[in-house]
Amino acid sequence: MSGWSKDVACWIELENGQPSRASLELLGEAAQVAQAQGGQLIGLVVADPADLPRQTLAETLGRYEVDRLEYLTASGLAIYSTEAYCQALTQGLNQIEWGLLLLPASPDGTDLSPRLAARLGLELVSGCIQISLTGPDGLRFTRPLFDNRLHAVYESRANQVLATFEPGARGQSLPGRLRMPELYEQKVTLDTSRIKSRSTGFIPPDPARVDIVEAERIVAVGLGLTYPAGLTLAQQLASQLEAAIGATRPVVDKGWLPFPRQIGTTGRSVTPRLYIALGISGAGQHTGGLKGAGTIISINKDRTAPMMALADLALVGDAAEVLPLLLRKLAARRKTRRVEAEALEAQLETSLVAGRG
Amino acid sequence: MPNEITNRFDMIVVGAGPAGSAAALVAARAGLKVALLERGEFPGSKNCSGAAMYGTKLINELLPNFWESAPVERYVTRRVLSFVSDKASFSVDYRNQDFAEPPYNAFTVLRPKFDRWLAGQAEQAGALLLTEVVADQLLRDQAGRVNGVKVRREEGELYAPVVIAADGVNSFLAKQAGLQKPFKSEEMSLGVKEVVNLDRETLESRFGLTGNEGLVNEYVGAITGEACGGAFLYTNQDSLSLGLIVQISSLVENKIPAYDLLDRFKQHPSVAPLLKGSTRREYSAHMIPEAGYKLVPKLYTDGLMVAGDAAGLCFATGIYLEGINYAIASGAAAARVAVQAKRANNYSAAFLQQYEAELQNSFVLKDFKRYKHAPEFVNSTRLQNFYPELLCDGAQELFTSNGQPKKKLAGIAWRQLRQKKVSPWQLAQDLWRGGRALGW
Amino acid sequence: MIKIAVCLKQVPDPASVEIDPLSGQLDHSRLAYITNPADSAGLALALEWRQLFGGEVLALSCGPVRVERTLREALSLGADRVIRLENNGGNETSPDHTARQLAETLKSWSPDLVICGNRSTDRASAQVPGYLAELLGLAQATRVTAARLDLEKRQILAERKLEKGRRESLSLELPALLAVETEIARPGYATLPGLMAAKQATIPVEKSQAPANPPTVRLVEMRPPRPRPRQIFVPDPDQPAAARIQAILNGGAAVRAKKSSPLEGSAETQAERLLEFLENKGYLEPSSGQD
Ligand SMILES: Cc1cc2nc3c(=O)[nH]c(=O)nc-3n(C[C@H](O)[C@H](O)[C@H](O)COP(=O)(O)OP(=O)(O)OC[C@H]3O[C@@H](n4cnc5c(N)ncnc54)[C@H](O)[C@@H]3O)c2cc1C
Ligand SMILES: Cc1cc2nc3c(=O)[nH]c(=O)nc-3n(C[C@H](O)[C@H](O)[C@H](O)COP(=O)(O)OP(=O)(O)OC[C@H]3O[C@@H](n4cnc5c(N)ncnc54)[C@H](O)[C@@H]3O)c2cc1C
Ligand SMILES: Nc1ncnc2c1ncn2[C@@H]1O[C@H](COP(=O)(O)O)[C@@H](O)[C@H]1O
Repeated sequence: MSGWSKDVACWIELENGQPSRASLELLGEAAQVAQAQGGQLIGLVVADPADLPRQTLAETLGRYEVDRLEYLTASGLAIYSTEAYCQALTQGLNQIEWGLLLLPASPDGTDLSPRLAARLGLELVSGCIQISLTGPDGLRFTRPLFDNRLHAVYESRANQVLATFEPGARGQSLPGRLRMPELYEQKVTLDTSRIKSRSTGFIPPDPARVDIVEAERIVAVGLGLTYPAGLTLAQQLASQLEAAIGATRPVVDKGWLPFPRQIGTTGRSVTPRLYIALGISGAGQHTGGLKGAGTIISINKDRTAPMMALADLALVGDAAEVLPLLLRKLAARRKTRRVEAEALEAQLETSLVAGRG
Repeated sequence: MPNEITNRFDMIVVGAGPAGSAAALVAARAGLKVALLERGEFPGSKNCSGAAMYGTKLINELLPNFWESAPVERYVTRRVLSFVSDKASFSVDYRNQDFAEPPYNAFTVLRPKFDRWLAGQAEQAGALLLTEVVADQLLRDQAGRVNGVKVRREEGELYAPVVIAADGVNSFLAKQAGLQKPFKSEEMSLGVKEVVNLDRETLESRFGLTGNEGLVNEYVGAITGEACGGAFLYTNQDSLSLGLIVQISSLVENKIPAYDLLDRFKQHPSVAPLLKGSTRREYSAHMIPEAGYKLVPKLYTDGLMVAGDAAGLCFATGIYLEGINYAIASGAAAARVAVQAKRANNYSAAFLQQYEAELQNSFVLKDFKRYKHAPEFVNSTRLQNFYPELLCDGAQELFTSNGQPKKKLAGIAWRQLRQKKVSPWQLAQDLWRGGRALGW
Repeated sequence: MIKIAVCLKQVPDPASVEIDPLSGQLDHSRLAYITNPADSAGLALALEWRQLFGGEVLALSCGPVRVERTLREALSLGADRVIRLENNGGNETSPDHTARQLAETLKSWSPDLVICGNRSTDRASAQVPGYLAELLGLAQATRVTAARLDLEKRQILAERKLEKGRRESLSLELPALLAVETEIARPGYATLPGLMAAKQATIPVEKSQAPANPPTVRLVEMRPPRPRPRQIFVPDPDQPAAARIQAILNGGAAVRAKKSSPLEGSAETQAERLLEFLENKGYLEPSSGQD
């Protein structure tokens, strides 16, 4: 391998033929590093040659300081596959000089990067939130540990190293002035005998079934509710608020809801914007899974329940009484809204009719 | 040890607190095959963290020079009793350098570490410690004698001719055996406790301690407000344990959340400066049986003995807050009896009765009898609020320099009593009750 | 019959992790360890499949003596065999080194399937599975939330988690590696005899021969998180208008209202308050995605 290169290579992930948000964000960081080192920024795009908007892509990426764009193409590369993309990138990377390879820490980037690092026999720093230079020939990577409660700083003096960059760490970069990158296209030869996994389709998110880990709103159920009547009320509230349903462990243990709905240290950690606790005492093992929650509402009979102390809105009361009233009010509200909207429409219509007449 | 898995033991101990671990240690040492069951993830994981441990002599008998290997925090050389009113406090400060020498008088400990260590000693002696195992039910033979427990797991039966219930306050097993009646709320206290970090250097200079010396400060008076109880503050290596013990009935009666009281205590002018710069590390709350001897149930039945808090052997009355020592002593005594029972192959109530006899003769039940009136006295309104105020106001008069000639102490006391409308008769009566409860 | 290896990592219980906010010092003395939750779920899947198809489950963990607890737990739950791999580096070796150690042991055992957690909760590198799959030449699927095994076809159908609730379905040929999420399966409870046997078992140790290459990437500093100045803030379009405005005013920082004290009142009042609160926070606006 030749000596140390100052050039920074980036795998640019495509989404519907366009660079993904995470890739564009990554380019911001990459450009900064390349510039500080006085190196080039090389974009690597893996794609099916038949289905590649070469020009539009180049024009987009040219606004993100990409100096050189490598299209690595072969049929069968339209959809991400670990092995095929690993082969494509390995071949592409062999043709260029580079010191640092960046990938977005997206689902596919995270899947691909360790496999690629192992194949190249290199080290990888994953989930970085900052990359900078240290001295003339060293790179400095900052990455979170313990759920972002601690930052670890690593230094690399390797000739070549890989890193993934956490989406959202930097904020999206804005497109700048267009500077057309140099364009290259490499035909990749795939060893299909090594490709042992295949994508067979994509499943869209189901709002009612959305994983609580990814949910923006959660209505969570504790033992303070009855079964099945109380649970049904909670589910109605959840569907009204387009929220996912969560639960405490005893609720899951009783089989009211399946395990993936369990929030807490032995369940899942969630990060919703809105979290409504119904009849939940707020034991440490439960709230341990709530550290990333935004607004918290708690309804509990017991004003001293720990959950109440955590809540932005803590209502002392019987959930079995409050919920039906709330649902009724929500329904009534929707109805008035609809009536108002209809009235407004009717009014508009009459005025239109009047105008016409 | 052969890896043969059997569910038959010579003795089963439920609860790896101080009582259970001491029992397991003693019995395992005597060669009994012991199972020690603990519902927590590890022994002590469920315990309120900071404590002052007074059973030093006793533990030393079980584990000579334990302080060399045990995770003790500090040995106590200074004990302070403070009477507090809203703004003032009046303290009795006792310091004894003799307490700084082995075998020491008392230690401060952090329970999760200490309990774990003690259970480890039992394991080393050969007991089988099983954690995350909750005993759910006593098993009995056809004659109705306890002969094992069932735990909340599949195939959860464990058998032994003798079971020791050391499962803490509100002992499920003692209740199931019909040994313990449900507690009344005025017999129960709620302990709330916090451990706060304070760097070692600040701590030592703030409390006038050197090396591993430690302080125990107990408080009575305005801190618990209308509610009956007391407060405490102990020094650990680089943290403080502080908290309150409040009678549950009086919390309910006065509708005060225990957290508020703890905050009030922390903000008290005599406490707040001690906590400056500290950060909260943990918080916990726990029930304590507090009404002393009255609460001690029958301690045995066929195949079962009850030890520690499960037996109501906890002494928590205002200025006294001891349970670990009684727990260890009773656990060890129960185990000794179990060892004899095995030798005699007799596990009947008639034989196990020796356990109670042994406790009667040891300091355990002697203490409890001696202080049997303490709970009522300590929780009386006058001791809780009136005398602390009296002392503080009296001291205020004594120490205020306002150009007036100084009065003799007796005069001040007298005037205070008059102002507060206490009859000399009442005072005499309280003194007598106080003396009976605490002094003799 | 299927041979499944499960890689278990012991990690600090997040609840026991205390970090000095000023110095970034981690209080090691207070750490309590648990099995990485995703790994426990992976073990549960392995045991389920062994139950269905027969075979053998081997659990591995690299680490110091304390990881024996994790392996005992695996035994108590039904793993047939466990091995502890002694680190020959420091306490926390780099992910690629861990993977090399695991690969060394697994090569000779040649499992049909290796199950890892998708990522560990401490360093969260999510690297070990990919490295390991490459070193062993296995097909891989990461972020797996559901899986079905067809032993006759020697094929696994897996569902893989993408962003915002999307899923990808994959088919993999055995031998393969799955890096699973916690929802893949529910960890079971050990029976009492299982627990007792595990408690008394001796845990075999293997010392790694894998050379501890001096890592070229070195940890140089641990510090409390300092958010980096974000360049541009783009409010999330999925948020209701009120929240977007608030977010812009806050420069994107998470907003946390002051904790209120519990409010008493009749059920009617409480329902009214809740409604009002949801309304004021914009949660009753129809979300932008739907009409
Ligand atoms: C090792 C271990 C791991 C654990 N892991 C988890 C975990 O991951 N997740 C988890 O959730 N738990 C976990 N737990 C259990 C946890 O300790 C608590 O027991 C549990 O969270 C309590 O659930 P809860 O709040 O539903 O029930 P409870 O504690 O019984 O609380 C019910 C609450 O409802 C209130 N209430 C009653 N009736 C009404 C009413 N009509 N209206 C309104 N309020 C009412 C009560 O005041 C009470 O506060 C774990 C425990 C252990 C030992
Ligand atoms: C706030 C507070 C402060 C205190 N301060 C002091 C002090 O400073 N000094 C002092 O000497 N004493 C103090 N005490 C009292 C002391 O904590 C107890 O007296 C002592 O812990 C009793 O020991 P034990 O072994 O009987 O019970 P515990 O220590 O309560 O142990 C019982 C064990 O049994 C386990 N267990 C319970 N049920 C089951 C079951 N069904 N199956 C399996 N395991 C089970 C529990 O998890 C626990 O580990 C304090 C108490 C409180 C609440
Ligand atoms: N020390 C280890 N021993 C065994 N398995 C490990 C170890 N470290 C990581 N793994 C496995 O690799 C997965 C991902 O870990 P990580 O790469 O650290 O995020 C874990 O969930 C484990 O299954």
